[in-house]
Amino acid sequence: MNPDINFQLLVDRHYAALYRIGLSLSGSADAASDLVQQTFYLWAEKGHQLRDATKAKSWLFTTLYREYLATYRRNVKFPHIELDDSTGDLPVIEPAMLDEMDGTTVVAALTRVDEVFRAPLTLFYIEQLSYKEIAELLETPIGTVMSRLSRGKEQLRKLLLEGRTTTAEKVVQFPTKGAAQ
Amino acid sequence: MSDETKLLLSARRPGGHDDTDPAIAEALARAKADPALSAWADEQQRTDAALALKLLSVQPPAGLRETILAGGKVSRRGLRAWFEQKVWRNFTNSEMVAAVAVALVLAVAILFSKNEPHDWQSAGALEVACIESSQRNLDHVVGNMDEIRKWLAGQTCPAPATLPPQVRGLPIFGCAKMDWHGQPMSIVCFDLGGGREVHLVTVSIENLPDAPPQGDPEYATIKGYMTASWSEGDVAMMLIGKVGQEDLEKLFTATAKTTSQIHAHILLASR
Repeated sequence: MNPDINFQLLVDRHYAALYRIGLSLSGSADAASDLVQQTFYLWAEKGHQLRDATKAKSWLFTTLYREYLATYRRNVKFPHIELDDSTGDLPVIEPAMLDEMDGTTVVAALTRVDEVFRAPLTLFYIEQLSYKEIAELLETPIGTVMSRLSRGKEQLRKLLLEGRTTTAEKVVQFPTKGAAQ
Repeated sequence: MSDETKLLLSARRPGGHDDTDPAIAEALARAKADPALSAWADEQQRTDAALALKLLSVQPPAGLRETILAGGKVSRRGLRAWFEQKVWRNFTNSEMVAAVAVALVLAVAILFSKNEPHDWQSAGALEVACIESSQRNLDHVVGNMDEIRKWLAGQTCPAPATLPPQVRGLPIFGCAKMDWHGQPMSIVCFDLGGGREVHLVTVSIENLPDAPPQGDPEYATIKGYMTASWSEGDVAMMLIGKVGQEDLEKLFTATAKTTSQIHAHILLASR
């Protein structure tokens, strides 16, 4: 098997997920495209320094997240939020209601979730990383990641239920699978 | 209900990927004994799976992939700086015309370029490419099909149905599991001899909009690979490799041949 990391293969495999994560973090299609391009630009510059090819994926996601923090949150100090571990009863979204929602609505709600919860939630839903992988990637303790996932889901559900009718009007329409094909 | 148990169950990914995690396995065992907690966990999984699918339906803008590939070493930030410095003002008229023409050609190319397919075969082909280029490792390295079936069952990952006749005798490297829009898929890797490999990708046909026909395989070229796809029972399978169609066709023939005969045959055919 060829040990070289092929740039095109890497792009094909990860650019869509990186875009979705960038979109969910920033809430802007332009910013998401910018973040993905910058991430692959940095890969082209520095990726060869990575000796373990299997770490390419986490390198890309970590880089995108750091770029996001550096570029789009330069003037925003990370809020320190004390979290308790209690998990209230999550608001239930009926399956029929879920069926009616499209990806745009869910992304729009996700961008309104508190930032401290949004990053783990994005990695959980979009990249389907385990709580341990999220903890490693965000350099956050496992217990904190669990707490943030739980609280983030609670916020996301509330936002989806409360703003279901108005959210779609407020955000830019992102291309969805059906529209793209 | 224990809050800690709920936290653990809330961190459990859809599709049962974390069920072998000791802490989550313990939480699941507690949920089994508590109907209310069990119902809560089920609702979490259903909603999480649905939300993940909704998010995955958002596609990158057309042309982003091509832009990354074409300008992998030119970031937007760089382009912005380029425009901000107004370098273009130093261009001659003929250079401006040339630049506009190139931009138009690129725009038309992007407009008419096909979007990347988002079907399970393409996803499988990309994963196979990653395995072959060592960008990812096999999840279970074992040379025995029975062992692989057992391991896949433990991972709630679909295992291949009946192997094509001539695949049964091929040496096995091992297998990998992957996720496609929340659906688990498996890849079993075989040594075809002569430094070549074939891989068998399997996915459940449940919720599969474009399952291949039951019976004879359909041949296609996907991402530079020759593929043969077919369905059997409740799974769809794709045999894939950097080989010719006739090489794959031979693997489906019922003629009994030893592995060395198959290798010799394929080697001769490839010359």
